[in-house]
Amino acid sequence: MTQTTASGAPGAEAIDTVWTELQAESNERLLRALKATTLRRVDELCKRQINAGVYDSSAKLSEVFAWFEDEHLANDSELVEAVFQADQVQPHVVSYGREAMGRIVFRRIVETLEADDELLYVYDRQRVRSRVAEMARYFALIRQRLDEDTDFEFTPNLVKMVKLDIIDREQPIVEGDAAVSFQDTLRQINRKLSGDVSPSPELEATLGDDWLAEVKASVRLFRDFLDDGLPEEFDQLAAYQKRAFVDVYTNAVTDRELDDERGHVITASTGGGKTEAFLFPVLLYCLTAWKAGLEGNRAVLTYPRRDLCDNQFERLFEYAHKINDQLGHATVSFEEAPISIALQHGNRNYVELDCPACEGTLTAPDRDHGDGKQDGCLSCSNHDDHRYEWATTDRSAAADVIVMTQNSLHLRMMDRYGEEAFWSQAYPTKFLVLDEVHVYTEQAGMHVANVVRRFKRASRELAPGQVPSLVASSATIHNPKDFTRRIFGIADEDDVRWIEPDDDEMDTVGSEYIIFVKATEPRDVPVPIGDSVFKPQDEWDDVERTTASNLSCMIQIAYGFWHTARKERGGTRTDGVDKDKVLGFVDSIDSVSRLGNSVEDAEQNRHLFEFRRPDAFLRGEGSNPDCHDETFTAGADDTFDERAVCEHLPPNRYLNECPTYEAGECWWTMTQNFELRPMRMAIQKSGKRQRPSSSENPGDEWDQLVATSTLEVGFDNESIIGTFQYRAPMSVPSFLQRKGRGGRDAEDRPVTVVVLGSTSTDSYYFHHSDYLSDPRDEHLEIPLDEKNRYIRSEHMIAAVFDYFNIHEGIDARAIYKGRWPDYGPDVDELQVELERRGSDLKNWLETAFDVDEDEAATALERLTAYAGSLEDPVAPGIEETPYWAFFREAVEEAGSSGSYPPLDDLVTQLRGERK
Amino acid sequence: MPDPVGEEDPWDRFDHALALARNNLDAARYRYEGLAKMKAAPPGGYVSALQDLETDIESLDNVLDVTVDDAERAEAIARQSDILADVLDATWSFETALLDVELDVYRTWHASLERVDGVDWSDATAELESVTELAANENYTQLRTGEQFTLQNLSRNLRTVEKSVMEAMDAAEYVRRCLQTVEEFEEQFVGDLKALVRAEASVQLKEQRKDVTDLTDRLSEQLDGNELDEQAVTDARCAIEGAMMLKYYTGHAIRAFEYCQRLADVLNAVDGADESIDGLVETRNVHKLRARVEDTIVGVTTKTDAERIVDLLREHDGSLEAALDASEFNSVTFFESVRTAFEEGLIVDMEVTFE
Repeated sequence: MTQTTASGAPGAEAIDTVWTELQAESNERLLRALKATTLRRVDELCKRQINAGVYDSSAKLSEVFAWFEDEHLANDSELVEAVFQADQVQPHVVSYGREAMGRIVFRRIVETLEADDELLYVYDRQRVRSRVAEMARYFALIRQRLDEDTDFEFTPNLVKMVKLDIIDREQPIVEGDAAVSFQDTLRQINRKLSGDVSPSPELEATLGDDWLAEVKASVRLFRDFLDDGLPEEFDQLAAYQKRAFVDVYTNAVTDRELDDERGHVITASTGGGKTEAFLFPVLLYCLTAWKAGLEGNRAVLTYPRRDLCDNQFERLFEYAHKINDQLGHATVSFEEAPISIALQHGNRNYVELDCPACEGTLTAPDRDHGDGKQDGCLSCSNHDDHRYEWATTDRSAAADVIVMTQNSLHLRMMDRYGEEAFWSQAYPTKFLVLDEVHVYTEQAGMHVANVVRRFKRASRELAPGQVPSLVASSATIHNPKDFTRRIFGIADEDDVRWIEPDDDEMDTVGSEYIIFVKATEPRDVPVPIGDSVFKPQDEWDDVERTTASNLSCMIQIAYGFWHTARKERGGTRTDGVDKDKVLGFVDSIDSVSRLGNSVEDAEQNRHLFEFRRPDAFLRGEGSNPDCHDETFTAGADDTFDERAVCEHLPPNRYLNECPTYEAGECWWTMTQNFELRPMRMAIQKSGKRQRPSSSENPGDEWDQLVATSTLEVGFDNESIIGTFQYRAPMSVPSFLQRKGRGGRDAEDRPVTVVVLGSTSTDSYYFHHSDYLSDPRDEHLEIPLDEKNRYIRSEHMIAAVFDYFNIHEGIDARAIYKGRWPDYGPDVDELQVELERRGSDLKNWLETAFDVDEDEAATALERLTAYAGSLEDPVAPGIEETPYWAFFREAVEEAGSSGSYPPLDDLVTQLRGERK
Repeated sequence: MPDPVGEEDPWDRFDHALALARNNLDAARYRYEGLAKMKAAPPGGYVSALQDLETDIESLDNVLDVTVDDAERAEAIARQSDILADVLDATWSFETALLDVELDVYRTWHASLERVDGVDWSDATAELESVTELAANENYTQLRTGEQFTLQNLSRNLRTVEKSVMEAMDAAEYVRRCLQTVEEFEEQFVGDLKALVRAEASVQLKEQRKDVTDLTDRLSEQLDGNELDEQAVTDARCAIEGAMMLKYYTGHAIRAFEYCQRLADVLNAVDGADESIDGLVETRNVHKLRARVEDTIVGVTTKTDAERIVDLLREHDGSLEAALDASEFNSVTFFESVRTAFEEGLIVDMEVTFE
C-alpha cells in the first residue's frame, strides 16, 4: 500500500504532481489566469488601503487564500476540473483533500509571483504587497532631492496624495471556439455571394458574366496567403474580424444602387487586430481587381500622422510581399504586380523597412547628387537586385493601396501628382479608410469631413455608378455610427455598419494600473546645509533655497517611475522583447524640452536616483548617504548567503526598523544592474526625436521618452511598460490613447502615472479620477462640427481646384502651381476657367458639400473676386506693378538669389509712409 | 444528425455537418485517449480511422465554394464520425462499467465486514471511499492502472480484513455472517438474471449456482445442528467468493449485453437489419460484434504496418511507449516497423529518453 493518511500534509510527490499538471501545456491559460487573478486580488486589497491614505499597504495571505478558495476551489472551477480531477492528481486530492492541495497551488503561485517581482513579502512573510503598490508608496513619499549636501529630512515633500486604480484589460479572443478559421471566413464570403447578387460596376464592366468565378478564384488565392503567409501563431481570426472581412469585401464587389453609400466602422481595443479587419478585405479586393485587369488605385488608407503611416506601411509591405511572392511576382514591375503599394506623405522618402530577402534595409532611392532621398521604389541597402518596384514613395504612383495622411490627400486632390495617382484611371479608388478616426476631432475633424466629401465627389465624377466603400476604425469612440455617418457624409445612420467584438468574444487578459499623484501646492522652501541642519530653523545661516513646483514633482516621479517600475529583459514570456521603456506625455512643446532637460540633468548629472539606492544588500560602492547598511549587514545570516537582513524582506517598523525606507528614501525594489544606472532620456518634438540636450537622434536607444500628442496615436513600441501624463489631459479619448501606448502585448501589465498639479482642472480630475480610469459614454463623445461654414468655405475653394484637376480640357497644373518658365499659379487661366465653367462649378460645390445654390455661388464669387484682386497694384501710388506679377517675381528671384531688392525697397517705402 | 434528404440550403447543411464532424472527432479522440490510458485501447484500425477522419475533415474545411455534392460529402463524413464516436463511447462505457461492477461487488463485501465488531476495517473503508470518489469522477485510469487507489488494492485490503475477521470471530458467528453476505449477493445476481431473461439474453449459471447453494445448504444444516466442523469456516469463505463471482458474472453479462446492443445499433444503422447480429447480441458475443464493427466501420486498412505506426504515433503525441502500448504489435514487430517508417521518411527524427 502506498496510501498516505488524509490527516498528513501533502508530501513532495503530491506537490510535484499537482504543480507539474498545472504547468502542462494544456493548462497554460489556466495557470496564467490563476496568477493574474491572485495578483489582482492582492492589488485590490492594497488599492483599498492606498486610496484610504495607508501607503504601507499589504494583503494578508490568509485573506487572499480565503478568496482563492471561493474563486478557484469550488466544484465547477477550472482548477478543480482540469487539474484536481486529472488522473495523476486526483489520488492526492482524495488523500489530502481539496483544500490542502489548493493551498499548495496557492503558495506556489504566490512564490512564482514573488520570484517574478510581481509582488513582495512584507512584515512577516504572511503578508504581501504588489509591486505597483510599492511603487505607489515611493511616489506618495517622494521628496525633492537636490544634491548630496542637502539632507532629505529638510527637503520638501512633493506629493499630497496618491490614488491607485486597476482596470481589466480585454482583448478579442483569437483562439479556441470563440475565434474562427480562415477557411470558414472565406467560405462565408462565397456563401454571401452565392445568392441573387450582381457585380459592382467595375467588375461587371471588366469581367462580365465571369465576375463571380474570378471573385471566387481570388478568394482561393487569398486562402494561400492566410494559410502560409502569416506568422505561425496567427492562425485564426477573431469573430468580429471575420464579420468585418466578409461584410466589407462582399459590399465592395457587389452592386448597390447609386447613392446607396455604405460605411463601416470597426471598433476594438488597442492591439485587438482592427488593422487586419479592414486590411484583409482591401487586399482581397486588390487581388480581385488584379484578376479583373483593373488598373490604378483601389484603396487609400489615411492616418493622422506620418509616423503612423510609416508604421502601417511596414505591415502592408509585409502582407503585399507575401501575396506577390506566393504568386511568383515578388520582383516584377509596378504594373505587373498583383498588389502595388505607395507611401505618399510629406516625409515619405525617409521610410526604412526590413528587406524580406536579406538582413538589409529597404529605402527610397538616393538623390542623383547624393543629398538625401527622392521618390521611387524601395530597394535594399545590401543587394542591388533586392528591388521592389511595386513598393514606392512616388507621389504620382497609382498604386493599388496608397498610405497617406489626410493632409496629403487634401493636397493630392488638387495637384498633378494626385491627378496621376487618382484620376487617370477608368475606375476610381474603391476604399477610403480613416484609421484612428477618433483623432479627427474639432477642427481636424471638420477638415477631414470636408476632404472626404471632396474625394467622394471627385470619385463620383469619374465613375458615376461606382460607390466608394468607406471604412473607419477606432479603439476609443462613443456612438461610432453617428460619428462615422457625419465624418463620411452618409445620409442615413442605418447605412453605417458598426462591427465590434461581442461580450462573449472578449477575454480579460490581465490588468493595467493608473496611479494618480496629486502634487503639493508650489512653494519656496529653505533647505539648511552644513552645520545649520543641527540648529533651529530661525538660526539657519547656511541654506539653499528651492522651489517645490508641480514640475519638480513631475521630475522626481519621472525618474522614480523608470527606476522602480517592474521591467523585464529578454524574458521567455516576452519572446526576447525587453519591457523596459517609459513614455511620457505633456501638452506643449515647451514642456517637452523643459521636462526632458530637467530629468536628464537629474539623471545624468546629479544622479539623484542613487540617493535612494538600497545599498545595504547591493554590491559595489554605496551611494545612498542615508542607508543604514552597517546595521543591516551586521545581522546578516551567512548560512543563506545573505548580505543584509533587509535583503529578502523590506524593513518595517516591527522588524528591522529603517527610518530611510520608512521615509520613502530607499527604493528597495531598485536592484537590477540596468536600473542602477542613469536613464537614457529622449524627447520628441516637431516630429523629430532627439536627446534633450543635443540634436542627436537616439533611435531606439532610450529608456524614457517625453512627447506631446504626436505620439499618442499609433506609436507602437513593444518595450513600453509605462506611460505618464503630466497635468490633466486635454480630453478623455486622448488620455486613453496615450495610456494605450503602454503594454502592447496582451499579457503586459502596464502602469500609467498621472501627475496632477495645483490647477482647478487638475484637482477636478484627481477627485474624479474615474473619468480617466472608467470613463462613461459622455466622456468619450468626440466633438465634430462637420458642417462648420468657415472650414467648409476653405474646402469649397480647394474643391474648385479638385474640379480643374479631374476635368479634361483644363490646364489644372498651370492654374494650381504654374508651368515652367512661369512661377506660381496661372491667375489668368484661373479667371478664364472660373468664368467659363461657373455653372458646372456651382453644381460641383452644391453636390460635393450638400449646400444650397447661394452658398456655392458666394464661394465662387469670392474666389473670382480674389483672383481679380491679384491684378491690382501691389501698393497703389507707390508701386503700380500688379500684385500677382510682383509676387511671382519675388518668389522666383528670392528662390535663386535669396533676396528680392524691390520687395525690400517697397517695405522701406511703406514704413516711411506710415511714419 | 444532418438532414439526409438534402432539402435544406447546401451551405447550411455543409456548415452543420462540418461542425458536427469536428465535435464527433473530438469526442472520439477523447474516448480513445481514455481507453488508451486505461490500457484498453481498441485495435490500431481505430487510430487509422481517427487519422483518416481528421484528413477528411481537413479536406472538407478546404472547400470554399459549397455545392450540393459537398454538402452530401460533409454529411457522409459527419455520419462516419458519429459512428466512430459512438463506437468508441460504447467501448469506453463497457470497459468502465465493468470496473463499476467490480466496485459494487467490493462495496457489498465491505458492508458485510463493517458489521463485524472488534476488527479494524478503517483502512479498507478509506480505500473504498477514495476509490468510490475516483469512480464518481470517472477517473477509471487510476482505478485500473494507478499505483495508489486501485480496485486491486481495495480487493487486497478487503481480503486482509476478511482474514482478520476469520481469526477474530468464532466459527458459528463467522459462518452466519458469510451466509448473510452470500444471501445479499444472491439477491443482487438474481435481480441481474431476471433482467437478462426479460431482455431475452438469459445466461446459464445453474452449475455455478449449485456449487454455491450446496455449500450454503450444508453450512446452514451444520449451523442449525450446531455441528460445525473445521472445514466450515473455509467453506463459508469459499461461498462468499463464489457468490461474488456470480455477482460479477451477471453484472458483466448485463453490461456486455448493453454494449452488444449499442454495437448492433451501429451496425444496423450502417448495413441495415441483420438477424445474425441479433443472435450475437442475445449471446452477448462481444468479441465477434467488435470484429464485425471493425470490419464494417473501421474498414480493412490498406495501410502498411509502418503507416499504421505513424498513425499511432500521431495519435499519441509521438510517444513510442504509448504507441506500443496502444498497438496490437509485439515490440519486435513494432520497432521493426518504426525503423521502416524512418527509412521511408515517414518519421524524420527520434529522441530517446531514459526514465
